Amino acid sequence: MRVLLMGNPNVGKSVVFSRLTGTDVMVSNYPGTTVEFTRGRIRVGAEEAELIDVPGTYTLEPISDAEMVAARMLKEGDVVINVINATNLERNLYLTLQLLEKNVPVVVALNMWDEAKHKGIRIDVKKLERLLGVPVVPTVALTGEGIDRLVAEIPRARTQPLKLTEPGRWRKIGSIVKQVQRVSHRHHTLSERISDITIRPETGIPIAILIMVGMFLFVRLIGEGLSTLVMSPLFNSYGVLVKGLSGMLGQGNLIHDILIGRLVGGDIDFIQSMGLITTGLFVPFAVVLPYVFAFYILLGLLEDSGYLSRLGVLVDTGMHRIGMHGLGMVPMLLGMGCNVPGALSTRILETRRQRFIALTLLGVAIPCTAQLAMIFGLLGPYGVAPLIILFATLFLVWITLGLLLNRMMKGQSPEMFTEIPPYRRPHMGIFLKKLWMRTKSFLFEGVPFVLLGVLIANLLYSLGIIGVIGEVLSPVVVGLLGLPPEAAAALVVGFLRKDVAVGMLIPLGLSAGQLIVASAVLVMFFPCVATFAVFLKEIGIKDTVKASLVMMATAISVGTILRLLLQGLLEVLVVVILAVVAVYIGMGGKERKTRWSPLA
Amino acid sequence: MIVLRRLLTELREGESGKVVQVYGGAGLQRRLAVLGIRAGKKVKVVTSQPFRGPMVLEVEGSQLAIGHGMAWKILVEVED
Repeated sequence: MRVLLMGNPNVGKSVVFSRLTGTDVMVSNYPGTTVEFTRGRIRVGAEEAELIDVPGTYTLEPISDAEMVAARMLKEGDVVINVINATNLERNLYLTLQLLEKNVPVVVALNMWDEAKHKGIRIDVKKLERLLGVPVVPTVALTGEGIDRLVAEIPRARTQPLKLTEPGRWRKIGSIVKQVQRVSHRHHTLSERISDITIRPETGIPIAILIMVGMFLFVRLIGEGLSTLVMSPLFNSYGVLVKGLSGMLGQGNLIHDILIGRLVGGDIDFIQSMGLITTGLFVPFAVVLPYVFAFYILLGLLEDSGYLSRLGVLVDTGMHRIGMHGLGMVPMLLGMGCNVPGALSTRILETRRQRFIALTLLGVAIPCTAQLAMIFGLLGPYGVAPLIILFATLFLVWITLGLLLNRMMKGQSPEMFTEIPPYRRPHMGIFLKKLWMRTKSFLFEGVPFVLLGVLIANLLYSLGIIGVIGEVLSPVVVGLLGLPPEAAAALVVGFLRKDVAVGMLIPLGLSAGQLIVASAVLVMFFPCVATFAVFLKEIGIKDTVKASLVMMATAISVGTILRLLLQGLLEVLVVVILAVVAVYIGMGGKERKTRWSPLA
Repeated sequence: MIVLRRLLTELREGESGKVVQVYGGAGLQRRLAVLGIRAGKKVKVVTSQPFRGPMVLEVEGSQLAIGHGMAWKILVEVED
C-alpha cells in the first residue's frame, strides 16, 4: 500500500511525516521547505505501507511544475492523508474537494488545531466529517496530538464521488465553512504587530539589515570562540599524541607522509602539515565545525520563526533586477551554510531561467561557512579591511553578474506569489533535530571530502605534481592574478573542497593583497564537486557547463581587476565604476516600458 | 455612501476593498482564487513595497505577498 501526504504548502506535512515514520526530515516555517519527495515506511494495522511526503500544492490543476508532479504522483497512491490547516479551512478545502473528485480514498488531518483555538476559531469536526464524507482527525503534529488516531483512521479512508465545476467548488466550500466554523472576535496579537513592523519597508529594511549584521557578528564571535577556546586546546593535547606517533613512525616514509604529513620547523603544524590525522581532522573539527554550528543555529531560528518569507518580500524588488524574485533569497541564505542544500532549494523558484541565474550566482559569489571559517583565519591577522574588501567584491560581483544574466537571458522572471506564514515560536525539539541533521550531514558528507582533499593536496606536494600544475596554469595564476605558481594547486584542490584549498594558501607567504585576490578567486572560480553534482541534477549538463564557464570567466576577470586595484592602480577603479554606472543606466532605460491598463 | 472601483495597486496601506474581478488568464485567476482573491472577497492592504515591489495583503485572516503586476490586474470596490 502506498500512502500520500498531500496538502497546501506550509501546513505541516513534513512534521506529520516525521511523526508517522520516525524519520528525520527538514521542517521549517515557510512555504516550499520540502522540494523533493521523501519516502518512509509506516505500519497500518498489520500491514507495512510506504508513506510519501509530497511537496505542497494548492490545486491539482497543472499550473506549476510542483502541481503537475503532485497530480502525477496521485495516480500512484492508494490512500491520501490530506493535511489541512485548521486556521484556514476555506483555502485548504479546495484541494480536499479536488482530491475527492479524483476518486481516491482520503483521510483528513485537521492540523494546527491548537493554533486555530488560539485564534478563536472553532470547528465542528463531526459535522465536517459528515459533510465531506471522509474521516477528519484534529491533529497538532508538533506535539504529536492526534497522530495515533490519524494512523488508526487510515484503513477507514473513503472515496466520495463528486463532480464539481470551479464555481461549484467554491459554493460547496462556502457552505461547508459556514456550517462548521465559528470565529470569535479577537484583537491584534503581539506576533501580528511584529509581523507588520518587520514587513513594512520603512521599519522592515532597517530591521533586516540589523538582523544580517547581527547574524554575521554572532557567527564570527561564536565560531571563533568555540574554535580558539574549546577546539584548539583539545587539539593541543591531541598534538602531543600525534607527535609521539610521528617519532615512532620516523619521518621520510609513506605512512608518515600521508597520516602526519610534513613537519614544519621540526613540529606538527595542524594547518600546513597536510596529513590525514593532522590537517585532515583539524580543519573540519577545530576550524570549520564551530562556524557551521553557529551559522546553523541562526538559520534554524530564521526558518522556524517565519522571518524568511518576510525577508523575501523586502528584497523582492532588488532581486527582480537580477533575474529572480524575493524567494531567491532562500537559496542564497541556505547556501551560506553549505552550497549543496542552497542549490537544491533553488526549486523554490518557478522557472528554469530563474533557477539557472540563482545557481550561477550562488556558485560564484556565495562562500559556504566552511570556506568562510578558513578565510577568517587567513585574513584575520590583517584586520577587518581585507575582509571588507573581499565581501564588497563578492557582493558587487553577485549584483553585476545578476544584472548581466538577467539582461542577456531570454524570458522574464515571474512575480513573487507566496503565503506569509504567521510568526511562530520555534519548537525546541524540531529546532534541535534540524541542527543535529545539518551538523551530521557536515560530519558524514563533508568531512570525507575534507580528508580526500587533504590527501590529494598531500600527494600533489610529495609527488612533485604541484610544480607541473603551477607551470601549466602560470599564465593565469602568475600572469593575470599575480600569485606564486604554487597557488595553482589550491585552485585544483578547490574543486574538491574549498576550505582545504584556502588552507593551502597559508604556507605560501602571500601579502595581504595577494591573499584577498586568492581567496576571492577561490570563492568564485568553481563550485565544489558536491555542489557541482547538484547543478548537474538540477539543470543538466549543458547549462552546468554554461554556468561553469561563466564562473571561471568571472573569477579570472574579477581576480585580475582586484589585483590591479590592490596594486594601487586607482585609474582602473575609476574606469570600472564608470563602466558599471553606464551599464546600469543603460538597463534602467530598458526597464521603463509602457504598460497596458485594463481600465483604459 | 459612494462605491468606487479601483485597481488594487491604488489602495494605500491599511485600506481594504472587495474584489470585483481579476483581469488575466484562467491560470492567474485560479491561483489568486485559491489564495482567497476572488469576486466578493474582502482584501486589506498590509503594505505595499516601494518601486513597484510586491504588495502584502490580508485575506481571510492570513497574509500573502503578490507581485505588483498581479495586484495591478485586480479590480476592487472601495466604499468612500
